[in-house]
Formats: sequence, structure tokens, C-alpha cells
Amino acid sequence: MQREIVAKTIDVKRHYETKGGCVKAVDGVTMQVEAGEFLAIAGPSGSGKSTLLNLLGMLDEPTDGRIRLEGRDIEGLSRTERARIRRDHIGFIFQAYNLIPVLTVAENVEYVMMLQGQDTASRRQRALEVLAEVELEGKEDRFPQELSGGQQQRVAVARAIASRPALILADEPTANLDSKTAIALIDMMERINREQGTTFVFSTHDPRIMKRSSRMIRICDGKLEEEAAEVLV
Amino acid sequence: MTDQMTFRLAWRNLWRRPRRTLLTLSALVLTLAMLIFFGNLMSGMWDRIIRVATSSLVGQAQVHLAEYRRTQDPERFLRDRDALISALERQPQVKGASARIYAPALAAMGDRSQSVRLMGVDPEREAMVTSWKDRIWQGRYLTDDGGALIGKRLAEKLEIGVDSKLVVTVADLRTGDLNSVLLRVHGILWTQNPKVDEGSVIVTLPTAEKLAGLQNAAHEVALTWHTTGEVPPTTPSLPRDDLVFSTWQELIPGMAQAYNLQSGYLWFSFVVVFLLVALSIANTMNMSLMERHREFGILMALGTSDRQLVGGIVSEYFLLGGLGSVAGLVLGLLITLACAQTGITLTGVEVMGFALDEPLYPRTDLAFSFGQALTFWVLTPLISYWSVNRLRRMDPVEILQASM
Ligand SMILES: Nc1ncnc2c1ncn2[C@@H]1O[C@H](COP(=O)(O)OP(=O)(O)O)[C@@H](O)[C@H]1O
Ligand SMILES: [Mg+2]
Repeated sequence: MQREIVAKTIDVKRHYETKGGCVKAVDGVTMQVEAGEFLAIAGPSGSGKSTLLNLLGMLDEPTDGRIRLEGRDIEGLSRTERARIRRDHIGFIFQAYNLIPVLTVAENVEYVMMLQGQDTASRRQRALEVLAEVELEGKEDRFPQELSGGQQQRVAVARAIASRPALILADEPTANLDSKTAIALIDMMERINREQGTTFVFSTHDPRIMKRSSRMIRICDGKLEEEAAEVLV
Repeated sequence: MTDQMTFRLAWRNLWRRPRRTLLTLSALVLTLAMLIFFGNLMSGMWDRIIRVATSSLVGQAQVHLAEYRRTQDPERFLRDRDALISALERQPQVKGASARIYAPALAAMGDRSQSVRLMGVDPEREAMVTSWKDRIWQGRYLTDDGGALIGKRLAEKLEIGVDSKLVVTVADLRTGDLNSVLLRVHGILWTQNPKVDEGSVIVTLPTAEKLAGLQNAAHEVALTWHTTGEVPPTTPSLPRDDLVFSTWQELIPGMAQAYNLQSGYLWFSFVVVFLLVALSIANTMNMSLMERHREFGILMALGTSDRQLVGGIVSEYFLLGGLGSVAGLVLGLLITLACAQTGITLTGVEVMGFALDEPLYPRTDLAFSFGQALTFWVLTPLISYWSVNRLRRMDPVEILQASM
């Protein structure tokens, strides 16, 4: 079955000019993300995972090469236009401290929908719905710091899926969790991917987390190593 | 994103560090309150000075022979005084009209003498224009029986008191002959207006006319209105066209200018003080923004536009400014009201020669007070805008990397 391509990079480079010379954080990466994938980007620390995810997520701009998002070239857009694409098409989950401490759990989840201009009642309803999805019923009026690290990451997952973006980018979402909680979180993401067809791309250097992916890309020194065949769940 | 969530977010961010916010807030509140109080005190002071100046001599307006107004030459007196007075008194806005005769004179007591200004007035009419009747320091007010009132400082210089006798010599304005008269001091005036207190000998019109050789004449007619306040009533019509009408602002232009200058100065010092407060606001603000750097990165990643980000922070300072303005306004007005009950005594302070020995009462100038509060409210978020605008160029990746 031919699946829709959500995002695609063509020979993308991201180089940093530093005092010590040119750092090639991402150095000619060609890859694509298909709709409904649970794609792992694996590689050691400093290999370019974050840089690649930031490029896919329109947080960063490539030094060279092209990026297509939902079939559309995304070069030469203004800051505001890029912010709008992130808001409407991409969900982010970072390694830690994802949440706004002064907002309640539900308000954190509602935030993107608020930016999109959804009315209070419908976004609240949706927030409760996705909080149930990540098994955080009853925690909606807590503040982030009242939750455990694993629960906070689940709120971040709920926030990312709430506005139904085409692509969710998770940069080492489990790196700050103990291994049991980490596996539980990745299992939860995998279940959401399976049940709802949400497209996830996540980075990790933890082999047990990589194993949960539907496909894996290995990156080292900014270059893709090999593209492994589908890994069975 | 004009959602109530924006304000909820702003409000909670404002109180993340309650102690710090309270410190900033109290700086705002105290500064504003002091500025409002000080401004109202200045208004009260100027009211006092203007009231002293007008009620001690000038009145609210005056009528002169045009030539006298221009030259101040005592030989240019106006005639038909009584007809002019009754014509003026008939006009509805006029409360009092008092004719005055002026002549340079020499006052002598034993071997001490002093050049003075002889002033002839009608005691009853003068009491409608000036407050001399209430300003008798010693003795009694002028009556028609021929005595004199003298200013307190003149009495001190000549070392005389009530019931002392004084020889006053005046040159006849028509012939130039010297006329002298022996006058008994009925009362000593203390008006706080140096022009009156230092060099005036005040007598009845008939006495002055006899000394200066005049009849049914005057040098000026001082007027008071039925209405008080800033807006002058309609100019009275004058029966003859050799006369000119002048308001007190025209008669003592220095004072009107000084008054305008002081309100300008007040606003200027207001801005200076505010800028000092602004510096401290900007300083604490930078600290608080530093702490929240990572959050800004997250918010950007989630799709918050620069405008929304900056708007959110400016909203915080809009709320802070609102709180500070309202509280500062209330506090400032309370201090003003409290002080309006008790008064403030500034012994030894003189403004334009007017001593402020009596307690000073602030005037609650609501337009001024609200204006200052509103300016604070507008300036506070403006300052935050200026200092937060740099977020507009920040790279979310850099922020997120730096704060990991
Ligand atoms: N702003 C930057 N300036 C210079 N070098 C950078 C910058 N950001 C990342 N790098 C370098 O790029 C490489 C890839 O970084 P990153 O994408 O964060 O790796 P990973 O997420 O796999 O640990 C690293 O060597 C890192 O030091
Ligand atoms: Mg990384």
C-alpha cells in the first residue's frame, strides 16, 4: 500500500560555523516520513538527532537541501508563517520541562488549540479526551510540578496529539525517565499511533526504545548509516 | 489571541515570584502616590499664592485709564470715579469694585522716615475686593474718620505700632506743592504680600484726595467676581473708551507664567522619576525573563508567534501597571485628603516673596491625579515592550539548546 508522505528531506544539511571550524550537525540527509509511521531516529549523543528533528519541525532552517512538509516546500517562509505551520501541523515533545508551570495540566493541553482560536468549551472537552487517552483522568486541574516526570511527559504527549497534527516530533522523550517509565511512555505513544494512526518521529539512543519503532533510521555524525527494514513490534 | 487564557497566563506569571512582584509593585505605588500628593500640594500652594496675591491687592481684575496702565504715571488719573464705580457695580458679574488713588509719599516718625506708597481707598468697597479686614495683625480696619493702615514690615522699619502718629508728605499731583498730614495708625496689616506689607500707607479716599489735590478721581478700580475658579466671567463693559480692563493674569504676568512653568516642571520631574522606576522595572523584568527562557522556547515550538509571545509578556506589565496605578492613585488621594484635613506647615519657605507661614492645604486635582495614574498605566507596559521586543529575533533552537 502506497502511504502518504508527511515529511521529506532531500540532501539536507545543517552546518554551524564555529571558532573550531565547521560543525556538520546534519550532513546531507535524505529521508521521508510516511503517514502513520512510528519512526525512530537512533544515534549516539551528538550525532545530529535533535538537529534533524528541529529541521523537520520547522524550528530550524537547513544550510542546504530541501524539506517538504505534506507535499509542500517550506523554504523562504517568514518567522510568523513558520510559527503558524508548527502550530497547525506539528506537535513537539521534548526531553523534559515541556510544560508551562503556571498553566494547569488541562490548560497546557489546551494551549495550542487556544492559539488556533478554538472556543473554550470545545478545547476543554478535547483536552479531557486526550488526557483520558494518556491515562491522566482527574489530573486536569493539577499544576505540572505536582506530577511525576513520567506523568509530565504524558501531558506533553496529550498536548502534542490534542490538535491532531500531521506529525509529532519527540526528541528523546524518555531520556529523563527511569527505564520502566520510559518503556511505559513509549508503549503509550505506540498505542496511540496504532489506534489513531498518528504519525510519530522520535529520537533515542536507548536500544530498548528503538525496538518499539515500526521503522528505524540510524544517524551518525550527521549522516544516515543504513535504513533498517521494518522492525516487528 | 485575545483570549481570557492570555490574561490568566499573564496574571499567574506575574505572581510566580510574589515577593519580587510585590517589591516592584510597591515601588510603583509609592512613587505614584508621592507624585500625586506632591502635585496636589503644589496645586494647593499655587492656589494659596494666587489667592494671596489677588485678595491682598490685585483683585480679580482692574480698570485703569489706558495711559496710566501703560506709563504708571500718577498724573494720569481717571476722572468721574463715582460714575464709573456705579456703572461697574451695576453689572451682574461684578461682586465688588473699589477705586484706588496712588501717590508716592514720605512717611516720617520722629527722625526715621521711609518712602512709601500712599493708597487711598473706600473702606467699605475695598473690603469687597481685598481681605484686609481679616488681615489686620494689630489694631482695627480703616474707617471713614481719617486714620491710616500700614503694612507690618513698614511698622517694624519705622518702629511704630497701633495709635502711633505718622507724618505723611505727598506732592500735589496738579501743582507739585508738598502737602503733609498727621495720621494716627489705626491698624497694622499683614497680608503676606510684600507689596502691601512693606511699603503701603492706606488712607481713606478723601484723605488721599486732599493730599494729592484730586477730586472724584482714581488711578485704578479693582474688581472681584461673583464666581470663583479658573474661567473668568465675561469682561464687564466699560462706560468710556479711554479705559482698559485687565485680568489678574495680565496684571501679574510673572505669576501666571510661574504657575504654568511649575505644572510643566511637575510633569518633567514626573517623567524623570518614572524613568528611574522604569529602570528598576526593566531590571527585575530581565531577571524574570531569563528564568523563563526555556518556556519561551517551548511556546515558540508550539507555534506561538513573536507577536503573541511579546503580547503575553506586555500583558503582564499591563496588569502590573494597572494594579500599581489604581493602588497608587488611591494611596495618593488618601494622603492628599488626610493632609487636606491637617495641613502642612513649611516654616521659612518663600515662593516669589510670598511667605508660606500658614499651614498649606493640598488641592485634590482629580484631572491631574488621574492623568498621572493613567500615564503610569500606559508607560509600564510600554517599558516592558521596549525591553522584551528583543525576543522577536530569538532563535527557538538556541533557547531550547541553551536551557537543556
Ligand atoms: N548551535 C550550535 N552550534 C555549534 N554546534 C552545534 C550547535 N547545535 C548543535 N551543534 C553540534 O551539532 C552536532 C549535533 O548535535 P545534536 O543534533 O544536538 O545531536 P544529538 O541530538 O544527536 O545529541 C553536535 O556535535 C553538536 O555539538
Ligand atoms: Mg539531542
